[in-house]
Amino acid sequence: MRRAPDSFGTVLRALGSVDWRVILLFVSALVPFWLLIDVMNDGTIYAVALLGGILVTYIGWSYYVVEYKPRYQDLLATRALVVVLLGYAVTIVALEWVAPSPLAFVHLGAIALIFFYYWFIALVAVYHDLIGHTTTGLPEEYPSISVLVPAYNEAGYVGRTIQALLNADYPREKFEIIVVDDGSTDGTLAEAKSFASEVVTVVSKRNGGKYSALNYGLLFAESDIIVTVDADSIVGSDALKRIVAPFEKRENVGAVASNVTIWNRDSLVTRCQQLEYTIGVNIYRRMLDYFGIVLVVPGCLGAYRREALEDVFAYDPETLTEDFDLTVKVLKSGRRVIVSEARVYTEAPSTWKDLYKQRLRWYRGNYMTMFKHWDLVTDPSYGLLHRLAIPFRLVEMFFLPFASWIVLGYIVWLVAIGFAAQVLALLVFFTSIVFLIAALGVQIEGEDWSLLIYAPLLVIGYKQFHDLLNLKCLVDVLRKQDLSWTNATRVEQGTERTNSGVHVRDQS
Amino acid sequence: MNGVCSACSADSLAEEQVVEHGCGLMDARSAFAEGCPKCNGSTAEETFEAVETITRCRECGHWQAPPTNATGAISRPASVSFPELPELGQSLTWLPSRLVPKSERRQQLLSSAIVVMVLVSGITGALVASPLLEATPTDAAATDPTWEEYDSIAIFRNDDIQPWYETETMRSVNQVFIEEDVPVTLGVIPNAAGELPLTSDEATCEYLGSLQNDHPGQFEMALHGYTHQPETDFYDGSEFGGLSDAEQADRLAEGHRLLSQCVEPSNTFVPPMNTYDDGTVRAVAESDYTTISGGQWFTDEYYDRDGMGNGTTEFETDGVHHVPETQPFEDWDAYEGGEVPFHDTETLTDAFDESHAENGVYVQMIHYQYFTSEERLDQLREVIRHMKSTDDVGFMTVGQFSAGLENGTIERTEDGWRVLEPIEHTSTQKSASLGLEPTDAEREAEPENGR
Repeated sequence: MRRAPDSFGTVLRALGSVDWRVILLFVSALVPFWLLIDVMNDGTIYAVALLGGILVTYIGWSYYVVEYKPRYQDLLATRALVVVLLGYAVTIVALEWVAPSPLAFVHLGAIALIFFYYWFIALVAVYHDLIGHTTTGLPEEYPSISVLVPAYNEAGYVGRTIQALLNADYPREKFEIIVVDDGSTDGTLAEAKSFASEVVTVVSKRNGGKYSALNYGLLFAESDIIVTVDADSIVGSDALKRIVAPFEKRENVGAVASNVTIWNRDSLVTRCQQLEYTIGVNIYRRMLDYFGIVLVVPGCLGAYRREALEDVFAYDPETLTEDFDLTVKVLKSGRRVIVSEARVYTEAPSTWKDLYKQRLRWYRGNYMTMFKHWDLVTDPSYGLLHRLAIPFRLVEMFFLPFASWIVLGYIVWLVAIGFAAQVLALLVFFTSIVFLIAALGVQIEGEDWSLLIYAPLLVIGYKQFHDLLNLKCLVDVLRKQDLSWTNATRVEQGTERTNSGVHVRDQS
Repeated sequence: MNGVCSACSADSLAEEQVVEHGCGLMDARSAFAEGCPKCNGSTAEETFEAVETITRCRECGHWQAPPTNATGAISRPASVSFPELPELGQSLTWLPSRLVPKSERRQQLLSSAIVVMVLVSGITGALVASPLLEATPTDAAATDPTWEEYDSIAIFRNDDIQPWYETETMRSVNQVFIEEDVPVTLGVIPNAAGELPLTSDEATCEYLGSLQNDHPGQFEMALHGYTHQPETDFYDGSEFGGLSDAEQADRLAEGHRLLSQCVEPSNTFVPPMNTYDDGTVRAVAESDYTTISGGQWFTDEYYDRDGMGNGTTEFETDGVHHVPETQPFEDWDAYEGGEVPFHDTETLTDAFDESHAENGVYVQMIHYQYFTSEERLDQLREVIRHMKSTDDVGFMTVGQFSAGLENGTIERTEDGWRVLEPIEHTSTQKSASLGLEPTDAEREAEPENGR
């Protein structure tokens, strides 16, 4: 009699191991997409289908030449894609599938992106989660690692970061921590020095910026694997083991990213950010991970092969996002950058004002980094980085912020002329798709399901805030303003860090 | 320099100046002796920024961490307090612990139930919203109201729609209008011969309903009498003309009741045999109908409008619009029994061209039941295509024309007509099929006397 529940439990466990919930969530999106197709007019359907065909062909070809026939690498790359897309635009107008108006194209672009996002990016992410995991499992032997902790005015945080590193599960004899005090004006140095030991080295220099603190720390690092941790982050107990694991498995891995989790989830702003991270990390980044072209190893926690860092002369001063810049440099050197299962906890900006300041730095830095590495856009020898990662990033940085505001303006106009009911329906509809995508991310991550109630804000509200900020940052960077770090107020410090003294040097 | 290297134990430690070059490279000053290995740029003194002076082993290159000079007392924190970190990977940890079941099996079931709940709510959201999307804003925007100029108006009126009769032919004729994308007013008999209520033929009823749903605004459902039987000798036979006001009102009301059970009737009344009298107009005026579409041959005579020309066939009396047919497809004068003959195509196109030249309202009457062969359907197509190929012709139904005149969205101009497009569906058709409340814009454009 007792066997029944056991075997029932076994069946459940077996079902649980294939994670049918991920498949179910993914497949369920067929319903809204089918409904979307149903309400689209024929011209739009043909136009989206043709675009899908072009993109699938392009991606298939790109993967084929990069992986199997590198001698054809220069053939039909991004430039050809642009030409084909221009021809496509002319064709769909000539065939009267789409009206020749900017709005019609933004509308088509938005629909095409939704389809593409789901049926390519999310599909690869699901495949990655279910089958293609490259980073699962831990190595039998761990390499020596040097953990760099750059710190500027991190009193009240840096001790905790060091303690979390000391608490982390890693063979003690293969592990050193180098805390670099970048000329802090508060008690950071004293707090860090209280941890000084054989394992923890604390060095100090005059203030020069995060990149210079990291470069300085590198001088003292002894190991072949360099791990960097922000001085306000808390690494998970197995994070160090997880972040080095991929180096052992693949020779050409140059850098490994971690998963950033927000611990202060007590406000709308921070919970929205967590949902944003959950979708970005679990859907978008998994796709890039699959191809080894992850674009950002976050400063919170990342790991590099020392020779990969030295080959590219480590950190540069020109951008505000040294993590994005360095990752791109490592990728350009021909190495893979992938994701590990290492987890790091960080404190997110908890007010809109602080979020604004944080993102002002991030987005300005993104544009600066993109302009700095513009050769990626034109040079096909960069393989999938040029063919896949950069076009996505360009669309994200240069098309979406504009499109989002054009669409919002259009929505406002529709409401004004009396289409409130349809606009509401449209919002409900797209929210349901974003909701299912977010649910997929939450399920893959094992995150908090209640985050899903913020999904509507990712369609309207939170999204436009970021898009507007992106536009502002683009303008700032183009106008070459004096772009300094903009720091958020720290929850546990309570005061604003006024000036880190870091200014971006003139590249000329 | 005293001491040995902590890495290689060699006795060759020396002080080295660490500098940062303008390109960001940081190293010992001596490393730049042969230029900057990173940027190959100038290595003039002013391109360097001194960072720190550090002890280094000349043997192995190891940098000795210098002692740091922290200000203030240095004491190990008794303990570091960590914030509560979110637990991941176990999908139920975010629930209050009292709600989490103890057994693993129940936890599995609960987390699966949550996934299903999320999935169902996502799909429900999409399902609920999608019917409203059918009137997509993009379509609406594409049809932003604009005034269009036309030389003339063209209307088709397909009479004698009735149950159980030549239904295949009925569909074939309507299909021509669908394929040519031309609107048409259907004159529907609600109780043919007083014996066949429209509702008795469910298939035809459903079919007519589907025309209204699938082609909004293209098929107008007009009331075509009540029994379609001549009741008086008025103008050689009339169902309405010559009857008492009360009887006419009864027939109109009863016909409307029957028609409403099957389709959404418009505001147009098409009297059988194209004849009616002042009593009919009074009955119509007192009902919710707004328009009578008889025959021009009749209105010319009864209302003494003969000789006023093709350009002025429509008129208004007692608040009722008269929009008579101006040209039948059938040539009854040549009828000698058997198949009802049609006018030749040239006669029909000439009649249209004449009306077009006079900026008139051309109302082409047809009776579906006579289009029994492909040749006859082809002739209809030919006439429609001739009209479509003529420049500046506004196609619409009787109801749309009359409603447009009423609410000012159609106006006569010196050299033709001015029409605010898109033309609204006639009042009773509106967006009911989409399950939508009419929007403010629709309400505004709606005639006041809508049903």
